[in-house]
Amino acid sequence: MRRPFDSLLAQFALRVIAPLTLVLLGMIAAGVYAYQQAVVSLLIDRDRQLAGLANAYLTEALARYTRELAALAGSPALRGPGAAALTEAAALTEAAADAARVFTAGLVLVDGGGQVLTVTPAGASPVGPSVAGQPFFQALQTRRAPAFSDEMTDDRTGRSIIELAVPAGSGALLGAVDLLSTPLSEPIDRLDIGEGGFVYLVDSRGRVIFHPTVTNIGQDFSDRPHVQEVLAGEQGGTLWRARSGEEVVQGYAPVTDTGWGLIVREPWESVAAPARQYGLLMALAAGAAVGLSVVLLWRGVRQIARPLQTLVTQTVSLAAGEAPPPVAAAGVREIDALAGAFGRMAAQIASYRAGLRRYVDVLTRSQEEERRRIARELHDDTIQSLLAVARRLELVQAAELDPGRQAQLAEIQQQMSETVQGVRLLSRDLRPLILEDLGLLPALQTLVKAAHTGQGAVPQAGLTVNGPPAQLRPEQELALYRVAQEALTNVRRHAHATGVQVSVTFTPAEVSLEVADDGCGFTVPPSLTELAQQDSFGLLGIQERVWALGGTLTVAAQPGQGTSLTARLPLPAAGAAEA
Amino acid sequence: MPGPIRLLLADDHALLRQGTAELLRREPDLCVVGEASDGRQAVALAQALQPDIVIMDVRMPGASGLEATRRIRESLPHIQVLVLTAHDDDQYVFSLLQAGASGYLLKTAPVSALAQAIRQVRAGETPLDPAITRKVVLRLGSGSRPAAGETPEAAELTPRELEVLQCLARGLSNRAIAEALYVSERTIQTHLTSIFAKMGVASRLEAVLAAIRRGWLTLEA
Repeated sequence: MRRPFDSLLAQFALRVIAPLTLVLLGMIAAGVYAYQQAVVSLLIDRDRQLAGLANAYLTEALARYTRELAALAGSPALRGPGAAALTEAAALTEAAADAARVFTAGLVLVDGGGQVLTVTPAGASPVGPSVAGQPFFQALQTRRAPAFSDEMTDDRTGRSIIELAVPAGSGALLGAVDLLSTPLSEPIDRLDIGEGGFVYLVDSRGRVIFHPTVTNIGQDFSDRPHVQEVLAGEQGGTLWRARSGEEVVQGYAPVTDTGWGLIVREPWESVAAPARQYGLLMALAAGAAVGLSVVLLWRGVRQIARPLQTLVTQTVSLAAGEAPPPVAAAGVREIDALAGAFGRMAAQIASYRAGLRRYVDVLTRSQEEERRRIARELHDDTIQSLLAVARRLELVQAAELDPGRQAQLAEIQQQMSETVQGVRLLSRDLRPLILEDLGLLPALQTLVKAAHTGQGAVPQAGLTVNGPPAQLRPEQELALYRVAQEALTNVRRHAHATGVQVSVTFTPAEVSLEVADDGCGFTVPPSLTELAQQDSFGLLGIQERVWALGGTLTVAAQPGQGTSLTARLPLPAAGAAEA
Repeated sequence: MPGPIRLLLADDHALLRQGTAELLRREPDLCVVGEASDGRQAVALAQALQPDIVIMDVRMPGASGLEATRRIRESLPHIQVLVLTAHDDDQYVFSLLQAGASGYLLKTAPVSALAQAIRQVRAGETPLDPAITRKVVLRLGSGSRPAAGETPEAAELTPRELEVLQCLARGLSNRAIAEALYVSERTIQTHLTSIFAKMGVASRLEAVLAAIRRGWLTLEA
C-alpha cells in the first residue's frame, strides 16, 4: 500500500526540514522575546532614572520654597506681636514674588502649641484654628526643621492643599499650596518625558497631590503596588497593567525629606513603538533566513533524492525484464557506489538473461527438431510401411478364395486402418506437418476450426488475412503457429469467450498475428515473467520464440474486457527476400 | 471402346507405391505407365509419359504433392491429378483441390475404391474419399463468417440448391444427385446453372471449393 507521505523527499521534509524549521522558529521567538524583555527593562530603567531626576528637580524647587518661607519667618517684622506683624510680613511676602505665587492658599503663623495666631490674607483659613495634632507639625516641632504636610482640605474653600512649614520663633510659619493651581508642575515640566507620559505625586498616605489630570488630585492611589513601594522608600521601575487594560512603564522615587512619592508613567504602546518596529524587522529578517534555509535544504535534499528516485525507477524496469540505461553520476559517494553496483548487477542480469535465452532457444529448437524428426518418421515411414503392409494384405485378400479367411483379412485391414489413424494423430500432435506441407494460413485455419469443438469451445472463431501474404521463413511460420496455438489454448482454458478472431496482417515491413477474444480477460502483469511465477510458462515460451526472431509480443487485457495477444515479426527488406 | 486409363504413380515410399501399382495393374481398364518417388520426378514423368491421370501423394521430398499438382495442372492441363494421401484434414483437401486436383482419396481406402475413383475422374467427376465426404456438412447459420469481401451470402441459395451443392461436394454425378433427391437429371442441371450463376463460378469443382472457402460447407474434424 502506498501511503501519501512515504516518499524519500516527503520523509526528509517530515523528519529533517520540519523539525529544523521549528527549532529555528523557536530560536527566533526566543530572540524576539529576549529583545522585548531587554527593551522593557531599558524603558523601566529609563523611567526610574527619570523619576530620580524629577525628584532632584522637585527637591530643589521645594528647597527654594522652603528657603523663601524661612526668610519670611526670620524677618524682624514677624518678631513683633500679633497680626500686624504677619500682615507686614505678608507684604514682604508679596514682594517675594515666588512666595506669593506658590503659597496661593495663604500663610499661617502658629504658636508653639500649634494654635493659629494669624492668617493672611485675612479671612483665609487653610488649616482651621489649630494644627497641634498634625503629623507634619509634630515632625517640625521635634526636629525644628522644615516639614511637608499630606493632602489636606482648605477649611474655607474646600479645595485640596498642602502645607510647607518652617520654624518661626517657638512656633511655625505655614505656607499653604493650592493643589489645583500648583506651581509644583514647574520643576516637573522641565523633564522631557515621551509622548503620553507624565509624572504624578502622592503624599505619604498615598493620596495624589499632583497629577496632570486634576480630577485625580486628592484620589487615594495607595492600593497600587508601585505607590506602596515608593512610600516604603524604594526607588525603582515596573511594567504595570492599569485597570483600563493599558500597559504602562513606570519609574518611581521617594521625594527627599517629604515622605511623598513621585511616579513617572509612560504608556508602553508609545514608548515601545520604535523598538517594536525594529523587532518586527528582526522577525522578518529571521523569517526570510528560515525560508531561505528551508529552500536551500529542500534543493539539496532533492538533488540527493533524484538519483535515488532514478535508481528506483530503473530497478523497477530491471525487475520488469527491461534493460535500463546506466545512471548518471550524482556526485554523492554512497549514491554513486549504489548506482555503480546497480549497473553491474543489471549487466550481470542481462548476461544471465541472454544466456538463458540462448539456452531456451537452443532447447526449443532441439525440441522442435526432435518432434519434427519423430513426426516425420511416424508419418513418412511408419504409416507408409503400415499402408504398404495393408496393400500386401489386399493382394493376399484378392487371391484368397476362402470366404472365412477373406473376412479375417478384412478384419486385419480394418485394424491396420485404425492403427494408421492413431499413428497419424500422434504424428500430428507432435508437430503439425500441415505447416510444412501447406504453409501458415491453412495451418492456422485448422487451429481456428479446432477451436469450434471440444473442451472450452469457442463458437465464433474466425481467421482473417489482411494484406498480400508474404513468403515467410519456416521458423517464422512455426513461431506464429505456436503463438496462435498457445493463445487459442489459453482462450479455451481461461477466457470463457464466445468469440475469438485470429488476424494475420502482412505489411512490407512485418507480419503480425493477433488473437483477440471477448472473454473474461485478466490483469496483465508488467512483465510476462511474472506469469512464470504462477507456473504459466506458455506465454513466456512463445515470447522467447518471438524475441529470438527479433519480434515483439504484446498482451492487452483488462478484467471483463477480453484479451488481445499480438505477435509481430520483422520481414526482410524486399530486395533481400529471396536471399 | 477407349483404351485403358494410363496412370502415373507418385509416392516416395517405394514399398507402398509398388504395392498400390501391383494392385492397380490387376484392373483391366487401368494401366500404370510410370512411378515417381518425388514431386519433381512426377512433373517430369507426367511431361514425358503423358498419362491420363497422376496419382499423387502429398508429402514427398523435392517438390511437394501440392507443388507438383499445381505445376502439372498449369503446364499440362489435359492431365488430371487424383490425390492419394494419409491426411484427412479439410485444409489438405481444400488446398489440393484448389491447386487443381480432380479428386481426393485416402490411402486407407482399399485399392478397389481407388480404382473406382480413377474411373470417376476419367468421367469428369470429383471423387472424394467416403471418409471425407462423410464429414462434409452444411455449416449454414452456425456462426462461421465468410472472410471480408466475399459475397454472396449462402442464404441467396435456395435450400434445394444447397442440398445439390452438398451432393456436389460428395463427388456425386448429376445422375446420382437426381436419384438421391428424387428429381430428374434435367432439374439438377437447372439447379446447377442457377448455383453457378449465384456463386459466380463456372464448374462443379469451383462451386464446391467456393462453398468450402466461404464456410458454407466444412469437414468435421
